[in-house]
Amino acid sequence: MRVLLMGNPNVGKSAVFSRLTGTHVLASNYPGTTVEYVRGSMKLADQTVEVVDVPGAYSMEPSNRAEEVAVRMLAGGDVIINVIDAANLERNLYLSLQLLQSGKPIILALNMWDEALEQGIATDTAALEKLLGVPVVTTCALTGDGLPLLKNRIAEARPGHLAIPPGQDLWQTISTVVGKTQKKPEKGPDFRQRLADLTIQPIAGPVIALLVLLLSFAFVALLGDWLHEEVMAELFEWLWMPVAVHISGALGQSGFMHDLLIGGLVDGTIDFEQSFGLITTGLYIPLALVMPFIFCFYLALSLLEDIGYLPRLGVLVDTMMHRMGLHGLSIVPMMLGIGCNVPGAMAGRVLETRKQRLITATLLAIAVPCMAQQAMVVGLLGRAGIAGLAIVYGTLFILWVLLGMILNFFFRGDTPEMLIEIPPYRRPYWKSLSKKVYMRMSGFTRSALPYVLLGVFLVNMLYSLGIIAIMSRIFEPVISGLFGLPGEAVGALVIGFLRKDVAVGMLAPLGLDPVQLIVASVVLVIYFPCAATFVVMFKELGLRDMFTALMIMIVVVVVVGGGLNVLLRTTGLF
Amino acid sequence: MPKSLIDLKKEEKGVIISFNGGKEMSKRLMDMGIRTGKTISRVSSQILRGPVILSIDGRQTAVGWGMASRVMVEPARNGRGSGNSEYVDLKSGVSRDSTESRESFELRESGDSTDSGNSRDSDDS
Repeated sequence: MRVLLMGNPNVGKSAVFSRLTGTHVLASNYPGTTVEYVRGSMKLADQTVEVVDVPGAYSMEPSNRAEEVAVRMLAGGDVIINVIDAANLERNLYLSLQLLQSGKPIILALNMWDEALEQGIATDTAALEKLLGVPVVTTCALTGDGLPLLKNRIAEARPGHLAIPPGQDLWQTISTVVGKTQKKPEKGPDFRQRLADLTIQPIAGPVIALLVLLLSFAFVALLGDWLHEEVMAELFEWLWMPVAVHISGALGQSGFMHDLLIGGLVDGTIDFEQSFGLITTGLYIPLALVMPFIFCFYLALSLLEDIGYLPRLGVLVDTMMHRMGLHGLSIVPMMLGIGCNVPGAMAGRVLETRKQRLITATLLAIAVPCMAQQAMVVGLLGRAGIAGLAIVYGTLFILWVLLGMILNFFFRGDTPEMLIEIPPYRRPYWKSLSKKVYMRMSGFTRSALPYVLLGVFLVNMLYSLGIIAIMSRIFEPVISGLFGLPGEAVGALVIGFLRKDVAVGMLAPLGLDPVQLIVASVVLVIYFPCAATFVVMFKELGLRDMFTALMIMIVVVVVVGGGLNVLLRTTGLF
Repeated sequence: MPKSLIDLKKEEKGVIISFNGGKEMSKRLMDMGIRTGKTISRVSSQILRGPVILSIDGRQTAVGWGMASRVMVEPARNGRGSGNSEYVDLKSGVSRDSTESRESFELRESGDSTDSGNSRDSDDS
């Protein structure tokens, strides 16, 4: 048996899915989190049943990709759980009535029931059940209330018997149904609502947005640094250093295996940041240097997501984004990309046209550094003062805007206008918030740790085989002449194909001056996406568009890297 | 006097009477519950022709400026919808009269993307 979860966007289908199947999928407080369907299974009366989280749809006459997927899925479903925003019965019933017309067995879940009650909305579920002829259950998927009942009553799902009187359209019927079953208190916007609305006003909105973003940045930078310095670095020093020293001694402090596992000794001792062995730097970079920042970032992002701030941010930046061939909602893939470009590029699916997806993916790959890379850049460059960091971030932001405008000019195609529901602000629910942060963190450790180790392994191999030395000589003219970097920096560029955090880490032992550090950091952000992002870009864009993006990348890195080098040297800012 | 959503003042209410746009646009709006006969109020708008935010049944929707300029409303005088226009025929709500060409001329800057990027059925009347 296949159970489909269907409903309007952002009514909590993914949350219901997680509850029913026990598997975790990302649920966020904005429409379009699920673009492709997600499958899972649950036990139902000793039977294993397939559950599908279908992308949100307003109508069964599709007008976007998510709705097309939903229509295709409907045909293959045996039972439909129609998830409904209880506080917004009327609009949600439009889809419900279309689903009822399919003749499939249906059960209605009036989700976010707690929110409806809080707003003083009274719904007669028994009457609704009678009118539509299908079971109606009230749920709150976030806390899990009502989910056992929903599960129990799935067996009762049946085709509805609501007849639409001749000459009436769906909306007229809906209006009758709503009139008989739901009472909404009539009230204007209260104080809380007015306060919430301030965040989307023309002047207060951007000011608040700037504050929110600055606060988030400060939170990530300060707490991340604290966790790194005071917790993870200390842990490594106390717990791991003795082990590493012991192994180093056992290996005789030199030799191939020693270089591979422990790396080079700095002044006769192990330096977790610079030794570059598998069990020293290979573990230290992802766990002690990067993870604290990743954690803080995902905590901040998930909080903003669950509160419902991102769609509002989208509204505020919509005009600017249109200049870049995008619309406001593109801010979501961009924000996700600051964590890791991979989920960012995947979230680009939510955008309607090929042009938007291409521009989003290109901008992500070129101008949006992932958190792993940022953590390393902050660690390396932050020591030389905040000015260097400001130049790196400023350059990337200007590049992001300018490149977007240029791409908008050259890429053919349309950018549709924004049309998006703005969900009400919601109190974050700590349990689902921590689960979400945990999911994203484990996603990071699973995918990053092996790649970092592989990267460090390759660094050692390339060095001991003398390949780096050969490449340094070949690329010296470009690297030194154009970017003003020492030839050895080519090693970082090679490893950057694999992991950008390791690449930045490789700059540490080179003893670069601040200008070189700034140029190298910016070049490493722009020049090529890491392997994982590359794969996703290829999947999302296809060969041709991927190639286009890569060509743009090469041009941009030469112009920006070279330009920055010349500019910083001639102005003598550093 | 009917006017478009963008002419509605902040917090002013009105009843939607028609859409001066293509079928595709009207359908997308109506699917989201933004349809003729509904009372809406404008929550805010952004500078430089940014999206207009409207409230309908207590829920907010951001509508692109070009699209919003094609949603015609009858301002409600006493702050509440008159209610008697609750069911204007939806099909005729998709207006195709002469105002459309004038509108699209005026809105050329943003108008070319109004029909959800799908020019296939934008001006096929």
